[in-house]
Amino acid sequence: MRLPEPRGPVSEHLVEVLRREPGTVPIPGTTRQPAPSAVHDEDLQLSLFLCYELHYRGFDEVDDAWEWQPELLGLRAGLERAFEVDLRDRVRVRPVAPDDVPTALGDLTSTDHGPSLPRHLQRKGTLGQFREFVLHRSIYHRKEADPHTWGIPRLAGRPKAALVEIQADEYGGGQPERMHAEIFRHTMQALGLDDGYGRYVDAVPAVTLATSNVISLFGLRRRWRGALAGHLAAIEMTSSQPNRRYGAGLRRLGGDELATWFFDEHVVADAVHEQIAAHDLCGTLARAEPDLAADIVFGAACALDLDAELATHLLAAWDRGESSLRRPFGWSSGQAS
Amino acid sequence: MTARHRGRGGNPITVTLCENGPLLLRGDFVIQTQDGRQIAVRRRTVALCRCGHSTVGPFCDGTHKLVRRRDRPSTAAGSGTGTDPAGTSVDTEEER
Ligand code: FES
Ligand SMILES: [Fe+2]
Ligand SMILES: [Fe+2]
Repeated sequence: MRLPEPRGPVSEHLVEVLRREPGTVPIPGTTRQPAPSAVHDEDLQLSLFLCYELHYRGFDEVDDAWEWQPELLGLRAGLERAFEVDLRDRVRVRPVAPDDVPTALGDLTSTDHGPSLPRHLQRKGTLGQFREFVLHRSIYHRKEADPHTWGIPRLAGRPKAALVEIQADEYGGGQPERMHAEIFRHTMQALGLDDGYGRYVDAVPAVTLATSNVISLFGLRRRWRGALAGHLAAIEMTSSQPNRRYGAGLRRLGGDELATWFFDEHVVADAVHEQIAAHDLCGTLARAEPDLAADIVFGAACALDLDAELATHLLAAWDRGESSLRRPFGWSSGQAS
Repeated sequence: MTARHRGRGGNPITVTLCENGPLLLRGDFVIQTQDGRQIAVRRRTVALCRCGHSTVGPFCDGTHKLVRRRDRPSTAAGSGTGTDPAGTSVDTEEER
């Protein structure tokens, strides 16, 4: 993918520096005033996204050696601290006994965390709104499963086997065309969207980047392995029913079987994954490493909080009759119209 | 190597009873209708609905979480496959 447009002093500096030879340009620590909320700080979230993407597919213009440049890692650590402070502030979780982790996850995921985006898109969302929703989701879904895969080498025994079992299914069980990140392309194409990896980073606000960044934060740091497992469990446990609604919504708008495949697939797949994630992954991890119990629930709560924050942003923008994107967009014509 | 009795392809079949939820099936199983028609299975592990409320039966779609708790299937041995779906209520709205 191409380097995105900067959104402030830090990302501007990064985009400039990353085009050069690695290590030849020191990156100063940031002296900027942090915005009140890191989750909504455009410059911070984009800068984090830039740093993280070097660990995934990288950028066309950037030398791969930048990935492990100490100056860059130092800058990233500063941004992560601000992000973490904000998350800790937004998400409060009560202490939980290791044995109670699956129940705590069940309680957490069965309470409402925000307005119902699935209901809106199922019943009355317009084609334009559905397209925006899919565009926001493409930031994560085009790399779906990848951030959680960082957890595999950090676990052992049953929790490890559970994570592998889930991830193998996310990756299509060895069939490339069945990988969830690939199936999502059909939905994008049906809506007239460009399915290129990272194509819409410039179009989405900080909160959308934050929903993806938080998994990279948990995934790239071993100390956050509990939160990573909890994050995955929360996603899986709040997936089947919303995806049933998204699928119904897209069918209402004229989407064919290929267009709704992604949503239909998740209704069935995540009814399996949620059981494995809550019990075999998080439950056994909490028992094997009791100190991680609180992190597991924290990670789950972060997933739900950011998901709700994004839903709030979308519905509020649509309510005002505005686009939820950073800039208006020209669409090619889609089939589902 | 010890020879052990295994499923058709060498994988023993296990059935996991999920509390208030589906049955997880792993191994070399086949799912078929009463008249022997095979139901396509596209993943290694499947969740079979036992609350009777799934919209994508025989597979689970998570609807069991909306079924009132006291009507949910339990994991207790001998409790059969759950309660009579006709006698349970689901907290979903009309738009299902
Ligand atoms: S057991 Fe999950 S929907 Fe019936
Ligand atoms: Fe998936
Ligand atoms: Fe999943």
